[in-house]
Amino acid sequence: MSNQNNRNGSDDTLRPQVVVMETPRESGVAGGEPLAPRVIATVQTGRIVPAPPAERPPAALPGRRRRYSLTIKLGLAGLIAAFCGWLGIDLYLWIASAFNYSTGLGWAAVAAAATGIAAAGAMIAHEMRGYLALKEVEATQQRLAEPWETMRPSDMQETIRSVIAEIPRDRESKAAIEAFQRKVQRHHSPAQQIELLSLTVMTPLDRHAEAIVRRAGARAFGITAISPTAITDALFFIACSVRMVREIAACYGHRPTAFATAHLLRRLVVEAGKLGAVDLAGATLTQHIGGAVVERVATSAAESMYAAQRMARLGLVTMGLCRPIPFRRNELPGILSSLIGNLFARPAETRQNEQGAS
Amino acid sequence: MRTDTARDFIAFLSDHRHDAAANEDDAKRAHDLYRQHLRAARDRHGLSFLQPGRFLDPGPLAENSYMWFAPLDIPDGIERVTDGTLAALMERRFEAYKTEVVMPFYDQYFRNYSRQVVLVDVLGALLAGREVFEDTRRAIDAILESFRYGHSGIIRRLLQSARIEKVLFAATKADHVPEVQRDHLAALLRNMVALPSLNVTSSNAKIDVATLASVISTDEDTQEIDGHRVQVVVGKPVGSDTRAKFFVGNVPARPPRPEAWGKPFLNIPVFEPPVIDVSPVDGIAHINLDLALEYLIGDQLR
Repeated sequence: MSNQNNRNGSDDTLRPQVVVMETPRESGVAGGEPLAPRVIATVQTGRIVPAPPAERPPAALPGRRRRYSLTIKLGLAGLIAAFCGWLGIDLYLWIASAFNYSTGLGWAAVAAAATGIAAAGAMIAHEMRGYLALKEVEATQQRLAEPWETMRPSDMQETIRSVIAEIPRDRESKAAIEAFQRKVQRHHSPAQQIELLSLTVMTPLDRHAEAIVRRAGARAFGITAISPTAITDALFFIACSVRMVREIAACYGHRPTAFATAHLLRRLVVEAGKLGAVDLAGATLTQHIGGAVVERVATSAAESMYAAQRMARLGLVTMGLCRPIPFRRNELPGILSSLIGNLFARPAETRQNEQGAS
Repeated sequence: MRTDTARDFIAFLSDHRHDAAANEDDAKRAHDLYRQHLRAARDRHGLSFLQPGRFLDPGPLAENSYMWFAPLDIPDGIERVTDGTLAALMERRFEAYKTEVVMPFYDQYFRNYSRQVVLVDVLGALLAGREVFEDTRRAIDAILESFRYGHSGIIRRLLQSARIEKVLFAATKADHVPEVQRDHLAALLRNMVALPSLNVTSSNAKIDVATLASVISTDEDTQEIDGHRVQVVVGKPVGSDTRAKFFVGNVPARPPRPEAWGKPFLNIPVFEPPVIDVSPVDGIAHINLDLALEYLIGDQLR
């Protein structure tokens, strides 16, 4: 190796310079290279005895799909057929009676029926699209529920494509996707790729979702505090929950149609049921604190705090349901960080933004 | 490389112009020389993009006169060959070959297939040198152009025009490579198919790459070569009484640069399979055969 000094100044080491390297000797794959392929004879005889297959970790079993019995399927099909038949016959009789009055009225009835059928079809298609998109996310979640290290690269790439396809295309998400595509390298393992995706693309969405949970918690707190009766209290709470679920679903790129929302709420009830024991402990603690300390100040404040905590809990479960990549242990947002932590973080961020703008 | 094996055939072409009068003996002679060239290119140099592939192993079809054709040297600018000439005879037979052999073959075997596995001798191509490696790439390209890829819906299936939905490129002879280098073998194949498979992936078909050995015929071992302790595989070559160690060299994850190619190595040993238990409880030792089947047809079996 030789060094061609820069003659522009005396301090050569700190100036740009050209270092001319000798051509390195390439290691070939064959031929006269020292480590070229070769066959080496041995004195051993006999065929190879195959080694016993290595123990593999048991493959994750795919989640059992709920299967309806044939009777139920036939029953549902029969009900749908009966309903459609009833509608069809009724519609036919209605159109026929309109034609009995006059031809013009008959054609108007046909047009009205056709419009109604088309509108119903469009609505059903919209609902089905939203529902199927949600099912696709659930399938992705199921795939990613396995340890990432054991996933095949092709499965992982397909999963990443489907995750990116579902994400809403706002400016921040687009920037996050571009950042991910810049950062991801060929040498990254599937697990590293999905971790990078989670860090770069999912984090902004998680922040939005946490903001929604925070707002819903604050709303539940306020409504419970001013609600006059237990019934209105419950109604407001349910309305707030449904609104929050729809907002979180939209935040993660789902179409919160009626059918999809109903499906999400059903899953939410199941998941919340699983967490019932944990919540019970939390509720007992809150009630105890409320009874011991806060009740002395204001009983309604304790109830409001409890409602806000329940709402945040539901919000976090909903985030887990809607997020295409399941939360890992260290990513799982906590109730305190969602409700209180960000309340403090938010003014700080706002101040920073204001300072930046000024 | 091809010029070397095709010397006799080229000499024949220089003696027999395309517009010479059609002659059965000349056609058969041209066909035999061309086949000889294809076989020599395969056996002596390890080339794989040899067309028509049926010429390498025609089986009972070899007796059919429509198989007796060969490419001729036709100057540019000639759109149609004259009737009664050698070129016209060859053209007629080539068309008959396509109608009688190629189309029924695709029709019978591939029309309704939706999964495909392409076995690639990556190791052989790598060790045989740059020209063979590039030739293998061209062969993969040609294979992918021969099939239709995409999603087969119900209507396409009903119309008997299913498309291939999943393709697995498998680097064979995985047991000839020590385990530590198998990932590189797969990466090299992934690199080889990256460009031709773009059309496949854009058609919404899935592609994966794996290393494969249906029966493991070697064992892992080490060997000191020029002061380096290297990983080798050991097996019993077919026809030999003693075992031999095979050092495969460095398997790169990407195609070597032009100046990095070494001397071609064509004597890859063929090892005998191990003694197979007549009722193998644990199955026959293999490399990735289960994963390949899972990828290709696993969803159909669930």
